[in-house]
Amino acid sequence: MTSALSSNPLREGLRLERTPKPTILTIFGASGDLTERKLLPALYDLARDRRLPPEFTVVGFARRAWSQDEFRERMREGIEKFSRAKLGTLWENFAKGIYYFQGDLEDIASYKQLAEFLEKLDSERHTNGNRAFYLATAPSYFKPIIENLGQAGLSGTVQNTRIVIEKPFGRDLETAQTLNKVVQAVFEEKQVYRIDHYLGKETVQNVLVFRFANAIFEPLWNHRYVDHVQITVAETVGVENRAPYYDEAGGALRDMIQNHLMQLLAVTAMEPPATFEADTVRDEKVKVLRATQLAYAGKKIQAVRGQYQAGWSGGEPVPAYQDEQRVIPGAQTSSYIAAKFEINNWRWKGVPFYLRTGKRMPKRVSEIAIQFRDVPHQMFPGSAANQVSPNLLVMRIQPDEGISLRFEAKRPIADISIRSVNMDFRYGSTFEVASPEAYERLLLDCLLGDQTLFTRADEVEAAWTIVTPIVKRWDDKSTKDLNYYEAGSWGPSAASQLMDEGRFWRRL
Amino acid sequence: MKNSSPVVALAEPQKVQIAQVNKQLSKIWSAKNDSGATRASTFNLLVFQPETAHAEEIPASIGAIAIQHPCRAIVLSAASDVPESGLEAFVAAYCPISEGGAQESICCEYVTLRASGQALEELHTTVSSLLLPELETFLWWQAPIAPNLQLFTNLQGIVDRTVIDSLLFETPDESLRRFAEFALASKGSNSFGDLNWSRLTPWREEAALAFDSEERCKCLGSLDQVIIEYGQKPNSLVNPSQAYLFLGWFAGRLGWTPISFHSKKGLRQLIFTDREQRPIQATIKAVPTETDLDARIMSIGLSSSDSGSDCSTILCSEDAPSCVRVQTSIGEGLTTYVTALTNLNTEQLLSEVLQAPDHDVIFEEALGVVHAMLSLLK
Repeated sequence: MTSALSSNPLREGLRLERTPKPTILTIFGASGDLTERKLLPALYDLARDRRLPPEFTVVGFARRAWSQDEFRERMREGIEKFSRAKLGTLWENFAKGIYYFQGDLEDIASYKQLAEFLEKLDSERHTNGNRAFYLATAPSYFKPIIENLGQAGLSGTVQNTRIVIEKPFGRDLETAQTLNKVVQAVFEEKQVYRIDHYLGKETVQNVLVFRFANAIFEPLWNHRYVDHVQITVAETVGVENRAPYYDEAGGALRDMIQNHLMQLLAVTAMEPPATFEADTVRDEKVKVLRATQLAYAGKKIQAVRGQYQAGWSGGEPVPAYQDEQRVIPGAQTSSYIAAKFEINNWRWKGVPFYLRTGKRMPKRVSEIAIQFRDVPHQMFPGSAANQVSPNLLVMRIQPDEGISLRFEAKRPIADISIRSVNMDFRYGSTFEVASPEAYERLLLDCLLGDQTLFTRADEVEAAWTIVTPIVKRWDDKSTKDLNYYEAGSWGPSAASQLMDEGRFWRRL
Repeated sequence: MKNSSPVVALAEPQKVQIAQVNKQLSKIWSAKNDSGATRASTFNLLVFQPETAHAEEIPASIGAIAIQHPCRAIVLSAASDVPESGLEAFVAAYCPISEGGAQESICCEYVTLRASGQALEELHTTVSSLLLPELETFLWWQAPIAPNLQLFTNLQGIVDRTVIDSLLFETPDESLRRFAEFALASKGSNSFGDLNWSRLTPWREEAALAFDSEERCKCLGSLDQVIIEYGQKPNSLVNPSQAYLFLGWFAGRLGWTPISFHSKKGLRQLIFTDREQRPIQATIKAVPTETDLDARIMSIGLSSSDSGSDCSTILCSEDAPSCVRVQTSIGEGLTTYVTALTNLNTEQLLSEVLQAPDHDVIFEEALGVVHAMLSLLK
């Protein structure tokens, strides 16, 4: 007689105390950039770190007439270029678990054939009917894919099937609500993983650890001590080859503000959840998003949009947005947005949150800056050399991930002379291991069934509600408030008007 | 100083009287006040080395550690050229050089103590006076324990964490048993680490991965044969420490108790019983190798003789030492895959150990089993 063990005792004390069940991950839109640049490299890195079961299988679903070998070869090239790990002896083994399935996203027959194919793979790869579906397609295909999966009997159960949906989730509140209904007609919410890759970044998760695992900062984290918050996501690149999508989406508002920047705002401003579990964390994020609204000056919304003109970037001349390839001529797409938000709750009343994002900025930088209030009383002799600056806490999301705290210090000379100094924590040099890519973390969480870092239906809708006034204004073609800025600059000067007296956008 | 260390000297090593060590270090720092170098220490690092010829040379490994962890490093070495019961001290300050070649502004200080005879055995009192207060003290013992057991024992009173490398043991059966005794006796006060245990992490992860699925996890309960092979280079000493640690871990996790142990040259045979008093046979074999796998695990075979269960798992170095082939079978179902092994160098392993939590309960559990195994040899 033998004793049966309910869970693997060998796992205890190892870096990863559990691994996903053997699963087949089907990627819709597998011929696109995301699969080659992000998804497969992330999966390869996970496999190399022994975080995936040996039976793990990937099926790429796309319309193109590729053979298995062609698809594998393309994925090999992507992994070679974009994965953290070098392509080594592991590739041969990993490649055995990669398959290609040619199909039409809008044709139910393809899904029925896919179901048969997955069943066949189940017996070959011992994946026991565990499935994950990843929607890496243009948003217009989300609805037909989800409905076809349902009709083909592939929606499974909470235990064995998950669906990952890329952003953008809807074009506005109404379409997001409609899409949520489509999803929920086929899948249960516990099966749905709406991805926002910013939440997969180690440094974004570290915001939560910094706030809720240290006793000294949280007491200061409110309107009594914080003057304002600036959240910046600046990119040096232009629209690149994404113009059709970018123009259709209407630019930075749907591409960045509604999702990435709102998530950064939520993790910065949320109340401490009782536990670090999916629904308790997401409940708190929803609460703070529901308390957030766009600021107004009278009836005027406090948001500025811009589009880059020709300029210089990285020492090279770069074209204007309008001259980029595949841009719709005359498109009023915003490549820059700055906006002021207010959070109407006990903690944050009166503290403005300034959010800005732009393409063709001078630097690639994402950060959350908490500017504290001035000291209540200036006791040191005032002189130009003795200006006391308010404390500033900066959480850098990328690059140079880390946290710095600016405080005042006495200069080592006889008189009282004050200077700002920085205390710096650099993620990379403190923890020697390279941070995993955001997609690694998110794919693994999805396979493990952990929804903490994914957005829930009500969260997406709350984020859309916040930006609805801007969406309405800027979707109206008669609105003529698009500003222009030189590529390589920090955006249109109109953005500075959003800042209240005595406040300035940070020079990064 | 030789260029082997990734550090640049802020001040060259100077021979000083013990009583002058702190004073001399302060002098160095105040003389370099305007150089932009900042004195920083996050812990005291004691490093015991076997005899070194060049007292003025900062070992590359310590320089590499200093890049990540500014510290006061005190190198203790047994030196036969120092007069009997004598003691020599050198002080220096160095700034690590980062990967890009730039000198870091956070710099560290090094004290080298060379001693022999009684002075070496009693070195802990001298070291104690040189420790920076309020900081944790780590001891990195880079040598076999036996020849300097007295010093090792004495230092336990002043350190918070001791890190050894059982791969360096010359008499592994005796040394590992003794080390386990230390570690188990000091539960709650000092903590212990073994770089050889850290080297096992990929093997442990791989073994865990092989039993993750529900079906295979059930097999764990029916395993009754373990064969571990480790490498032995011609003319090198037999060192099965890594195999012992793996077996200790595996047995500890599955609740096995060792009941007999026979050893003959490169072959060790053990019998364990599980919680249901079922016997389990374990064999540890030395296998000749010309590669870098000397004293390192080359393969692990885990199987069941129960025809009803019919499970087996073989993990073996495929492209030594960087990858491993895993073969698992249940009944007629056979899965084979190749996976990579991450091999960290000594500095990386030490750095990992320094960042690990104080008490690794799984390591302590494994040491407990190893101690019980080796005690059967007496």
